[in-house]
Amino acid sequence: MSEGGPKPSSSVKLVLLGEAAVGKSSLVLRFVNDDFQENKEPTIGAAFLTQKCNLPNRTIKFEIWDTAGQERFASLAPMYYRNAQSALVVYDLTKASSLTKAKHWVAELQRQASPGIVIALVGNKLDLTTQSTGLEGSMGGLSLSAAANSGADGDDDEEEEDARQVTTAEAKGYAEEEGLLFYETSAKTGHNVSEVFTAIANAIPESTLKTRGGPGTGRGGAGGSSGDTFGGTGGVNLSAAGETNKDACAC
Amino acid sequence: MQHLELPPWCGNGWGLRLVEDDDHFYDAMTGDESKAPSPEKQGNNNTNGLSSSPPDEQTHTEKLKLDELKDAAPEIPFPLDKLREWLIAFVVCDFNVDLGPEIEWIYPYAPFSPADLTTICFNSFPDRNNPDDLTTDTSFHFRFRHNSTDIKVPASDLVPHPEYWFGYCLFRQQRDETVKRKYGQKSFVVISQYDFTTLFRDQMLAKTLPLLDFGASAALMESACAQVANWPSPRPGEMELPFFGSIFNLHIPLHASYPLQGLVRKESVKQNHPIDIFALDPVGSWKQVVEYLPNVGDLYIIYERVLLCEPLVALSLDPRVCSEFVSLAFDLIRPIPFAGDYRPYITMHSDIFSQSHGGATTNHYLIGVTNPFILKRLQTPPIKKPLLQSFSLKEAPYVVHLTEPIRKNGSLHRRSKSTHREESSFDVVSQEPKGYMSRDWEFLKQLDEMCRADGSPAEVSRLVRRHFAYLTARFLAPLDRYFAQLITPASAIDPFEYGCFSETEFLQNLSKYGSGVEFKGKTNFQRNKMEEAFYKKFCRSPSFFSWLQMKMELASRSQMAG
Repeated sequence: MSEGGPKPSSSVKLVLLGEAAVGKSSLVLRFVNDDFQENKEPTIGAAFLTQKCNLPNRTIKFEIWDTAGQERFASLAPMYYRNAQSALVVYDLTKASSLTKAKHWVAELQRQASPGIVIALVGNKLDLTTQSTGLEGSMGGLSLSAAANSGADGDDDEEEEDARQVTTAEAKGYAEEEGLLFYETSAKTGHNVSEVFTAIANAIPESTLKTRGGPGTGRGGAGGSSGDTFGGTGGVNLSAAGETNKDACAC
Repeated sequence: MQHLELPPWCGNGWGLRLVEDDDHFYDAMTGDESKAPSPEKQGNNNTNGLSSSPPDEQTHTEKLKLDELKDAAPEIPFPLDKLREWLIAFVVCDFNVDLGPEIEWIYPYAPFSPADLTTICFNSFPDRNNPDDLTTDTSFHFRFRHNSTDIKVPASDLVPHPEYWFGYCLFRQQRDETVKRKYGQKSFVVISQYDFTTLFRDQMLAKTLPLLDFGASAALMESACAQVANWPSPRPGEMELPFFGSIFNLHIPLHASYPLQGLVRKESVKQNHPIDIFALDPVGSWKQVVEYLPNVGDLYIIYERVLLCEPLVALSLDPRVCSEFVSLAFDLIRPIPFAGDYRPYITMHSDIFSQSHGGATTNHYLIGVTNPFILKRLQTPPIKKPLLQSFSLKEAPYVVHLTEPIRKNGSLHRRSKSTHREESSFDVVSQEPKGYMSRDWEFLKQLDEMCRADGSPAEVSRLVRRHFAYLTARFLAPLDRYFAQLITPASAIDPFEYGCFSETEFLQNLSKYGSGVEFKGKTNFQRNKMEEAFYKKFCRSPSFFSWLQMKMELASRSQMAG
């Protein structure tokens, strides 16, 4: 928009994926309402929330699709991640199997989602480990900006006696290999939660952001040809009555 | 009559299986009830029907489904009353070659009356199939008078006729080696109290829900409902509605009769988001109708028939085409609310023929059909049914034949009326109504050129809708002028003033000041006669009363608003 006016604002579609009960909805609740609920009921289908994220030079409005983690909803995920510019893949760092599931999601996104999608891998429930406060030096290092993910963090995974089952090094190594943003968070204490979203906002390439001049505009080009991509392989038939993916981004 | 078998879990949100019995085993194409199966065969069918659900006979997948449901959906995981603010239920119908249509799922479970279940079942399947195209999904919608008194639906100002519900269908066929005739057929239906075809049919069903596989998964329906239950309550204005990764921007007008909603829209089609949906927009495009009509000039006949609320039937091979025609024709006369019974699609089993309908409004209808035998039935009802005796006094409907034009060398060759006659092997007494209004040749020329030049469907629709909206405005002007005189400024806020209408006075007024609409006739005298006759007809038609009623309602609304 014009110089000197309000900061440009763009919408970014973000999808949360991950095994049941890893804390996806809790992360969103913390980010959107700065709140936490114990024993949250499982999500059915998906929840939709929005939250603004202020960056120095722009405002990002996250349109968050918080999907259900239960296995029976897994086949619906493509409907949510189509045209998403970002994804948050969550695992529970006190449950090793949840990282395996997270890896599956990452692979599926890389295969079928928009080519430029920004993916963040998030290990949640940090409060259940001995480093729950997140004030220790090594954990502090993790909350640095996302771009700094490359720097190895040293040995911060000596805690064997607590509930942690996934070491930071293991998850982080995987994230680096796959080119993902990586964070360990606690939705309960709020540790690192807003940092994840800010990092995603920063990582979205500016070229895919379209300034939202008014209703009807403002969807990024990150969609690419994703509709076709997963329409073919994911068993999603979106081409009913010849109206092939009219809503899929064709930029 | 149905045999309803309620599985143990059906009270927990998941629906029931419905199996039709012999009552409906007459040939749907011919309407010939004598073709009903013999009693022995009926007995067989009944046995089949009753035993359609015991677990040991279920296929493996069905079993899986049930287990999944039992374990995963012990109760409806969302507020049902919130869902009911938008829709009543999702229904999946399956076409069983031996038993006819049957209901596979209802979610969330709703205690539909047996009559309503029958209506839903039979209207969800085209009673004619395009043999050249067995694999493309088709979507259409129907409207029915319901009697499911056990289903509580919240009242809303946005629902002018709560006694009617709508069914929005996505019909799909798929090759299936395991069934007879090698084709499986299913219809995925949304039942709602709203006439929001663009939202339910075009967006929710046709684009967003083209099921992940042939069968509708439990998770899909549960997810869909949970999302809808999270939507804010319907209200006039713009609403943001998230659904399966898309955001619908739904625009609901303040009143159902505002014309030309959504005509001016931003053409930012490149963007996938948000999707602007105008709730009361007609579905389909005039482009197709214009190409399918035997004669473009018939648009005026259609317009006059709808305006006067005279019986009109659209006959097509495809339920989508006829249901879209009804939607478009209904929109043509806005702001006048169509006063008759409108049915975008009916089959031989429609409740319009049943006694529950009462026959109250059946001389005024706008109906879409694919089965030509319905025309016969509309004109010559069985004498046995005393309630329908009034049919004999009825005017024959005007039939609009919507047939795909033949394309030769890139140009259109419309089917002539005589071709249509040859095709129907029986007599349809469809009198040729003479039109009253003179045609606007400029408009027809422009329309023809636009269609020839391959104008977009949206463009053609815009042209047609604008032309007739303007015509309606000019048509209503003399009436508005008369009422403006009748109602003094002091009493303008009293809606009952509209009751003092006098036809004689109005016609005098009309002959004095004239109308902006041009009527047919070679001389002024003839034109005036035609004009008077048409206005007279209108003032005695239900349309006039529905229009007056709307004016009164709007007046009292603005009165209440201060």
